[in-house]
Amino acid sequence: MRIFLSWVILCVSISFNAQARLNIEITEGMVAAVPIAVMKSEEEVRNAHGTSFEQLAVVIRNDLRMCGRFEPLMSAQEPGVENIVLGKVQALGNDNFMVSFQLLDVYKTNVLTQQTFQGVKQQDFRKLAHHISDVIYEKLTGIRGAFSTRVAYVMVTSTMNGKRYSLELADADGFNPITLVKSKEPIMSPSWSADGRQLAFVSFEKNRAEIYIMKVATGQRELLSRFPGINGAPAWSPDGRTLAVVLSKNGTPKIYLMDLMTKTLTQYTDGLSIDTEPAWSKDGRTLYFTSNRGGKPQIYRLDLATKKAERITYVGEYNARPMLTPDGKYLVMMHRSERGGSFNIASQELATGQVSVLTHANLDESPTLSPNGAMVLYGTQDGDRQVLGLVTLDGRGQLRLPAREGSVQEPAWSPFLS
Amino acid sequence: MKKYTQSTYFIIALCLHILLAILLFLSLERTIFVSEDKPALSQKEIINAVVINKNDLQKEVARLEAVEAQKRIHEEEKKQKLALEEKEAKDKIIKAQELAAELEKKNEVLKLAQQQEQKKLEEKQQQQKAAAQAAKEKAKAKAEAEAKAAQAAKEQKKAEKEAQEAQEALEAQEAQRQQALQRQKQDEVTRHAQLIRSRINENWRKPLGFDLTGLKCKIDVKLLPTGEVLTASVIVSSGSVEFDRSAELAVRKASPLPMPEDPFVANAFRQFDFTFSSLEAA
Amino acid sequence: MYTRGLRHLAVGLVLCLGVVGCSHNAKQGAKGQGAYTQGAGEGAGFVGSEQERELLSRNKIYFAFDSSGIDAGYADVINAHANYMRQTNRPVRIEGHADEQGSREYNVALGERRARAVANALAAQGVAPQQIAIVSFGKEKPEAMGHSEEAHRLNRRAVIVYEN
Repeated sequence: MRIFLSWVILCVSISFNAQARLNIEITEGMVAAVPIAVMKSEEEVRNAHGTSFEQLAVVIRNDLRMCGRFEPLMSAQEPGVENIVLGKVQALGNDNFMVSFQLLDVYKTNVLTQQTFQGVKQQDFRKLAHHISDVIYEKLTGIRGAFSTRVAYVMVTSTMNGKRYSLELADADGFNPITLVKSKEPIMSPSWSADGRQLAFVSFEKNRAEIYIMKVATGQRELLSRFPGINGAPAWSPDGRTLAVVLSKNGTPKIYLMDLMTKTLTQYTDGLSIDTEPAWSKDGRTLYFTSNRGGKPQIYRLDLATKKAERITYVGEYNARPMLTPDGKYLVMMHRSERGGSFNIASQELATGQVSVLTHANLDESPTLSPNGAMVLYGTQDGDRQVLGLVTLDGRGQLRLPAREGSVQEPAWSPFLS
Repeated sequence: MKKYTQSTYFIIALCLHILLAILLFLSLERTIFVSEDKPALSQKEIINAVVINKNDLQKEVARLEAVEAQKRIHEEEKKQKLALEEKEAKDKIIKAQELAAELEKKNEVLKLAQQQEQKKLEEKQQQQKAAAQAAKEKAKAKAEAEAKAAQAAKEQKKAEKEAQEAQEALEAQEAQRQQALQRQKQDEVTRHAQLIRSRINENWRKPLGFDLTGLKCKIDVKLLPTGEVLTASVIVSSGSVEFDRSAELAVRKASPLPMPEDPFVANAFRQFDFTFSSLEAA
Repeated sequence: MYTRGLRHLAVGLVLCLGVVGCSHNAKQGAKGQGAYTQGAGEGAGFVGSEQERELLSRNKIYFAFDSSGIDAGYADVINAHANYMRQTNRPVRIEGHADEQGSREYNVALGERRARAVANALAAQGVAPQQIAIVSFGKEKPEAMGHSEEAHRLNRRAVIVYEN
């Protein structure tokens, strides 16, 4: 039956008459990542000295694997290799290196791009490797690469004297972590400013909730909010002038906007429900937020001009923690299909309301999007620890990022950093 | 021009003769009467004139002489006139005779001509008769011939029609044969396209990535007779760089594509298109 | 004749409870927690029965899933604490918590509801509102580890903590 059917489909799908061109329709193939070999060039192989492109190749291969679209290889001999990255490092003496690379298309047999970098220091190798990953990514997908970005997150470690909480900042691949804040009490909800220079977060170090903003470069921080009750879920406006916050000083958690120049507060939601987790649209005119005003937590959209809220999510028993993709077409959120079910990361297409569940563990939470909208970093469980997971927005290409120690939670992906 | 018959010429000749006679007669009589009358008059005038004086006489004589002279002049004149008239008459006669002779001649000529004409006429008539006869016969023959021709044409038409029908039948048969052949070729093309399709399916690495459902791109392909891909290029983009690349790569990876043996079928595969589409996720 | 022995016993019992309380506090972490250095039922000015002390030692109220309603069974505990607060005027902090299910900030709000419920119950018993501070840790400070329903139940709580 299948053969007959495929014949029928084939005959229908092949359009042909004596005058017109033959057109063959192809719909089947295997979904797989791009096989790309990243290695040092022959020249370098022959010259063989101390510092090598392999040091960058390791980083590049990892970047490409992490984003879920590529299958990085160490050798071009593998069958089906589509692209080859050949690199070369020349030592010019005294911590001065020249690094060059070529991106080749195997089947078209041409050079897609080649670049040379001068005056590179050894300590810059990782950063340069991330940049090369960006170039390769953009050339092969048409999308801007996000490998030179950073991720802020909360780390929880257990000590003999109890838990320790810290706000940390690392490269997007998890390397070079630095500690920004240490506390014996919880830290929550790190949030990046649009220019990537500041982080807002919630700290309980004084046994109460407080919102701080901190300059990333200097570590200098400023207390912004410490009203009675909840001070939480800070979110920067795209123009950097306003911080959306959640305060329960009047009885129930409501969303307020704080002008960062004048520190004046304006209340934007009211009623007796829980309203929290505001997320801005790119044009700064709407806020998406979580609310149980309908009974269970669902996601709503607030028009800042009219202060009117409308419900957005109708699929699933529990939807929270909204975040918009850069193109504004999709909402990424925490989602539970039915009562008692698992919590997973899902995306909703705003135009159609269609929901796709992207992850499949038991308790996935805190999704954050890369600035190019290609990947979602989120929290997930690994035994009794929290670790980070990475997934592409089509749900394929899932990765789990091992934590060095303790639990890692609440990742916040930086914007593009210039 | 009216043709004059023999009788016409005769009447003309007769009239001319009569005219001539009249003219002749008239001119002769006049001349004779005029010369005898004049002398009688002069005598009467002299008797009457005795009683007159010498002067008067002389005058009278002179007058008479003058008159005489005048008379003489008149007579001379008259004589001259008569002579002239005689001459004229003679001339006229001569002319008339000449004319008559001419007319005679002419008449004869005419007669001759007439006769000739008559002859000719008769000839002509005969000719005409003959011709008419011939024409008649010709017409008859023509009619017969036409009838024959019509008949022949009819028969030819019939023959042609039959021939045409036979031809059409043949052509229809041929067309059917061609159609069957075409279908067969088409089937072969379809069969072969399926071969190519499987080959491409095996080699198409669909890209991972978000929002890649419902995409379509068209690849223009040129093959060498050996089936090797000469060129493969995107002519209609799907809007996704990755998707377009993967489609183009699939074609290149699958090279060389299997080529059919039949040259007519193979022709369809020298240059053609692929449309790659990613359907909605299952 | 037995009263002296009984009193000794009572004091000893209270001391034991105090020690247990202290070590428990130590586990929970250092001086930031300030509150646990002296539990209810201790310190100057307290007058009450053993039953009251017992009730006061219970400073955690547990809640049903997605709920901030206080079960009637806690009425005695609440009363005991209310009495104590009125008598001693000690400042108190009610900490609200939630189980691990759901998003973090939403759970902070849930925890706060629970803390408020307890605070309101205490205020209803005549405790001055300015004596009561409320904080919610959401699911950031679970008491029971693991993902079982039991662990969840133990984490859905409001805790009465006495400041110094």
